[in-house]
Amino acid sequence: MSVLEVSGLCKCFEVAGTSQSILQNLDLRMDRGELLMLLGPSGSGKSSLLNLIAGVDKPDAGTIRMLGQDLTALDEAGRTRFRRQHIGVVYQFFNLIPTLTVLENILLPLSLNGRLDEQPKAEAQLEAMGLTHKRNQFPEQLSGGEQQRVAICRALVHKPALLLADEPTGSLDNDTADLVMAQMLDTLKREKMTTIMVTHSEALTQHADRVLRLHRGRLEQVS
Amino acid sequence: MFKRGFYPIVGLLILVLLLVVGLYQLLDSSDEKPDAGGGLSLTDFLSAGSENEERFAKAQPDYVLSFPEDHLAHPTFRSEWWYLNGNLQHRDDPAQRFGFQFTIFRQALTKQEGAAVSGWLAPQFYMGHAGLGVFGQNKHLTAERFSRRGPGLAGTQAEPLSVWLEDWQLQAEQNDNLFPATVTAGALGNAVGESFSYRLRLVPEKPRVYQGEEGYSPKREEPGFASHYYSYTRLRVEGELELAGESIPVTGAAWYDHEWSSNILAEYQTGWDWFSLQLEDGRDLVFMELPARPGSGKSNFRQVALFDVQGERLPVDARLIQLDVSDHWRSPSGIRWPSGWRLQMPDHDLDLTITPRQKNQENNLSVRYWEGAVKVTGSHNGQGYVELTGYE
Amino acid sequence: MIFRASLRHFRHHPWQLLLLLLGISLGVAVVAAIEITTDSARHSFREAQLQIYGRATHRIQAQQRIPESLYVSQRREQSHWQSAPVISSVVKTSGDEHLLMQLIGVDPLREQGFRNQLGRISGSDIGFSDLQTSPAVVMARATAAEVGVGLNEQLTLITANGTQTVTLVGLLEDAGDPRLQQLLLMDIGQAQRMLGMEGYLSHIDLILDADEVAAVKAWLPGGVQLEVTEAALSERAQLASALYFNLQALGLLALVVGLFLVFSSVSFSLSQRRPIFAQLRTLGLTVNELYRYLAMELLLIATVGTLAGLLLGIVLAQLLLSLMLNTLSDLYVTSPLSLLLLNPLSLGKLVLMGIGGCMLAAWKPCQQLAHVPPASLQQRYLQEQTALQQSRQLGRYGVPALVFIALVLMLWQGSGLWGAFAGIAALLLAGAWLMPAALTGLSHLLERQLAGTQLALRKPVLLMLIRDNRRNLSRTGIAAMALMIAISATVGIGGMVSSFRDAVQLWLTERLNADLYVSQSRVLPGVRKALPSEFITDVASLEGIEAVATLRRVQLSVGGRPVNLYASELPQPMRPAYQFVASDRNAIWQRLAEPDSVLISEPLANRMGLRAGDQLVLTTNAGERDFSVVGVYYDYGSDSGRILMPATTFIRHWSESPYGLALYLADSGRLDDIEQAIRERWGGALDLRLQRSSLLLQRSVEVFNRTFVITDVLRLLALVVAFVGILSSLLAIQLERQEEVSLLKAVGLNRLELVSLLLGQSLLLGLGAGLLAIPVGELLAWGLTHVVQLRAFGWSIPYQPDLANWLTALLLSVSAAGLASLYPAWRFAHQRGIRRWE
Repeated sequence: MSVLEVSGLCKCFEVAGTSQSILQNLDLRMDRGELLMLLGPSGSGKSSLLNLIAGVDKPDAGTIRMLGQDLTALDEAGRTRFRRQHIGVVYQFFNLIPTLTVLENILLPLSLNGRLDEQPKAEAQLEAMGLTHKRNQFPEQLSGGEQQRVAICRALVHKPALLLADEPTGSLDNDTADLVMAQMLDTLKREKMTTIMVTHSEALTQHADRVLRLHRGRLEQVS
Repeated sequence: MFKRGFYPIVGLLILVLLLVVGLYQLLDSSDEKPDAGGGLSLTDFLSAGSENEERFAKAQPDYVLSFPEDHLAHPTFRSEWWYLNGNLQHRDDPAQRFGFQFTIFRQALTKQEGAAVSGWLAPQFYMGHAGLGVFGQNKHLTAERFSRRGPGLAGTQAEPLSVWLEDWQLQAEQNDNLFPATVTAGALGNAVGESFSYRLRLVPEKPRVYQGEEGYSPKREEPGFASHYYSYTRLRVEGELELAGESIPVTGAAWYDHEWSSNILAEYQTGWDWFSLQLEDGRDLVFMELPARPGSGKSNFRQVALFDVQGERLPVDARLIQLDVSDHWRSPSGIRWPSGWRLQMPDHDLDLTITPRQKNQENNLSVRYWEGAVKVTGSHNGQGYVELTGYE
Repeated sequence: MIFRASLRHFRHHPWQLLLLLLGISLGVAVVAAIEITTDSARHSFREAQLQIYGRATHRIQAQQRIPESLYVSQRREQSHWQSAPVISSVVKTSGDEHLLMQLIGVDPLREQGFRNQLGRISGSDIGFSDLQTSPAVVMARATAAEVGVGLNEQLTLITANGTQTVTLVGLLEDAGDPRLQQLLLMDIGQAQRMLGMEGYLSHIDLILDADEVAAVKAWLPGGVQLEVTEAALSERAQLASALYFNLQALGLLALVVGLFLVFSSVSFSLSQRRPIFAQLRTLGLTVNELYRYLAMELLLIATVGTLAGLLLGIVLAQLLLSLMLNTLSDLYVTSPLSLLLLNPLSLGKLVLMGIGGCMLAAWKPCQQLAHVPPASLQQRYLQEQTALQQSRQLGRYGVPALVFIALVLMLWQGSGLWGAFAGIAALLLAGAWLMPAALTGLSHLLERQLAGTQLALRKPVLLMLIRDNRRNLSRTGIAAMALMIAISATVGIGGMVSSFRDAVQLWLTERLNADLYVSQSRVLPGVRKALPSEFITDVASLEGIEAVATLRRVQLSVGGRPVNLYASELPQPMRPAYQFVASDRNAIWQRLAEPDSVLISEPLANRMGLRAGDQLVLTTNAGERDFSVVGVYYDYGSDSGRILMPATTFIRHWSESPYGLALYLADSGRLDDIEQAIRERWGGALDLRLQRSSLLLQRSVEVFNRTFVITDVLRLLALVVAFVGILSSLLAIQLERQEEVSLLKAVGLNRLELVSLLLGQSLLLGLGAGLLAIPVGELLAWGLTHVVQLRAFGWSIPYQPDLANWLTALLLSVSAAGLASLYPAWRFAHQRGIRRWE
């Protein structure tokens, strides 16, 4: 059974008065547990695609089906509710709410979903990432690598159906990036998480189940 | 710290501000300028219309002057003046010469209705002119003031005999005789020039004399236009001048006139030339000419009187008198005044050269006229005062 | 190039530019409005007075009128003293619309240099005699039109001497100049006759130089005084000048709030452009070049903002002026002229103040920006850390220092009125500096209560909004300061006004303790007719009357200001009306029975430095006499002061008859009967005015409330400025949080949660500001009542904190903050939450 079914997706942006198509009739289908890596040059529309799948933005045409639910048919509130339950997001940076502690950040999805009884799970995850001693610190007191690890914890804590990761280690130095990515891949595998990960790194693609390239608004298979 | 671009803008701002301020003050000042007295105060007095002339009393040929009453104001007549002039010299240095003038004018604005109207409502308006010529310094100082009669601000009174306008006054020493008397006038903080004042005691050297016919003095050819007019032609003067904070003792000789009437100059008359001369031989001469406008078809009107040492009036034929102007002077105000005369009276062997003590003796006041001390030479020596009006 | 980059910045963020301009404009507008209003009001008063007093420097006057012979003597003896006789009286036009006018009788010949209105008579054919020979008047063209009287038409006037008919013979070309519009000019002789003042003058105007003054004084006989007209001019405006002073202080307050706004707007617009500047710096722009550029930009914005503020201020002033003049007309009899004065000097001053204030407010953020190394220009966290640290330092060192200064200034008498105001300003500033620390404290406190609880876990937004307050301190701190200052001013002024109101009300209630007050109806303000003595004896003999007190009054000059001397029999029931500063009442009443003893009011005592036991010199009919002060009583009726003495003492020295009676009934229930009895017996003969104290009280309170309407308006204005401050800082925060929003959205926060996050944060800020505003406002109120009032007016007021004021402060503060955050919150929630970092 497929977790995500995207068909005929179109998205245009107004640029200097003219409409510029960034996604054209795009189709995508993902199975449970699949790790999809997305390549593409800057401005090719990777982030737009993630925004659409996350329900933050609305497509001009096409449907996005997740867990049998048509996201495009939902209103803003409905999409928000769906997102908080079923989607986890990790951005390149600025992932954490600066006014919440590490633990509070991780508990946020549980809290939003009314599942605070799962708090031990969150703490377990934190321990798995080796960040238990930082649990009461604020994001600004963490290093970049630590921040991203907390972000990954938070994105996974409520067991979303789909994880969207937009260059999660892109802002880190190489050594840290490798470390964080290794931890992340490890966790993804362990949790059998369905994931779309945007990356620039060809080297990473070896860990992927499938690699796609966004080119002229469509997805192309990369061998 | 700031370079190019900053200062020009600041400069521009300041400039704009200054302009706004300047413009505003320009606009503002237009209504802040003090208006002199207002268009109200002098109009009636100085340009009396003739339409209500009839309502005032008129000089009557058969009126017999009686004193001391006639020294006082005659409020039923329209105009009246008390007038003094005199040639003075420093008591200890006769070379230092001065001339003084003192006039209090009275003008009735409307015919006064008996004695019921008093105080502020009395329609009696007074104007005072005082002049002082300081001939050693070519100075001619004047002062002017106005007042209504009001509750005693100006007027005349019998006991003691006096005429006053505020603190200018001529006050007799006795109740029944006007002279000896003391005249005080001047101005501290003078509005029209330097401060000055004088206080002079006047003692008569000759009796009172009457002008015209026993004091009835016609002013035109036509009958019925006349004034009542008498004089003291020679008064000995002793007193002090105050000039630039300095007190100067003076002596000299003065002339007194008191005249009242209700008529004004005729249409064809422009003014008058008036001469009061005191000759060293003891005779005194008064000569007045009211010139007729050229083309009016009228002739100049003349009045003349000559008094001997005792004050006896000598017969004079006015038609024989010859007056020629020998010199002129243009004042700073632009008027060309006669400034030197030759007066001939062949029936009395008089051939007099009359020269102003100084040319500038113009009274540039609300009314502009020339009032100046003169020196008399020629067939006889003497001194006197000349009054010129009607020149433009 | 930098210009273009910057301009584009503002094009993309028009709100920022708008708020920056709004901050400057509003601040300047309020100050300008107050400055122009007070200037204009003062000027209006002065002009109104100039019509009456002209350009005279001095005035010879007596208690009532002076014999004209004095003027004649002066002219005949000392004519070089420039002088002019004046008859002056208030008259009323008859007809449906009574118009109060100032009748001035003058001698046109003596007017030169004194009053120049006569020069404006239209047409020159009005002669001296036209005015002198008949009761003829001259008035402004506009007024004639208003009254409906034409040239050479008759006009009926109600005067102190009955109804009189005059003819309008001349019109003053007022050219819309209201200075002339209340003037009725007449010849002095006709005025004397019409007012029944033959032989007398109201006063003699003089233009004297310093040397002459002594000579005039020496020359004057007893019973008349030489007054300086500067004092005469300002005497009526004296209380008003204290009022102006208070208003000006309020205006400065608004400017401070406005400058806070500028400061925050500038800091924000700069911090927004940090990345741009960072790049420019990296490209090699020097600190000085950056400085110069910033200064230019600010100068431009400040100029535009200031000029806009000035315009707004002028419009505002127009509104305020009528309010202010209403107030002043309530307080004083003469109605001033409504004349908006745009004095270029004060306008220039305002422009400089606006621009200078902006530059000063912006200096710190600019300097900070220019000196930060390019690398750290982008780090928001550092910026907040610095702000936090600075506020901590201010709180630790600045606040105690300021409080110390404030206390010294307020407690040390010698610092005067300005000192008192400076003290209050210092207090306010201290409060403002404390604000960030207070917010931090509040946020810590709430967090501690909340952290780790189930509530916090279930509603993480709560924690977020509490901590946000701390985090955005560099933005919100200043907005909170502005709000705090505005609110505490509200509390302070509200506290002062309500204390003052209570004190005045209490005082009035005590003072108006008779059952009934009787006087003759006043035809004209300021003209009180004496009551016939047979009327007084008759009323006293009425059944049911326990005590009758006659009321007499005479105006004297004490210490260069007019002081009313009141006299009465002071019967037992009247005595509780007076409360004494030193409180042995019985002794004071006993001593008052001794000859030549007087009581004086507190303002007079303070102004003259008098205490019980001192001597006071008063001008009686027979010249100057010594009186001994036996007591000082509380009084809020006049800041010039009042004097009270027994009628027996009064009669020995003055000749005024009683103008009124205070009746004390044995049984208050019989008030109606007594009133009716008096009317029946005397209503036909006298135009009586019977007033019950309750009614008098009510009217007095109304006047009082109207007086303080203007302060209410100003408080509102200060609040508006603070409101804009919060709005702008919240908008700023919202703009800065683009990324945070996308994160929050991605995590799954819905709009409601987003709105409540920003709204809650704002409400918390309002709460913090409101909470701090209460103690600061109370201190302010204390300072205003105990220090400023005493120094400005000479009266002391017992200060009573008003709990209702506290609640109002909190409500105001929270709702202002809430309202201001509605729009930013809405925008916050509707941000698309899309991040583009490719």
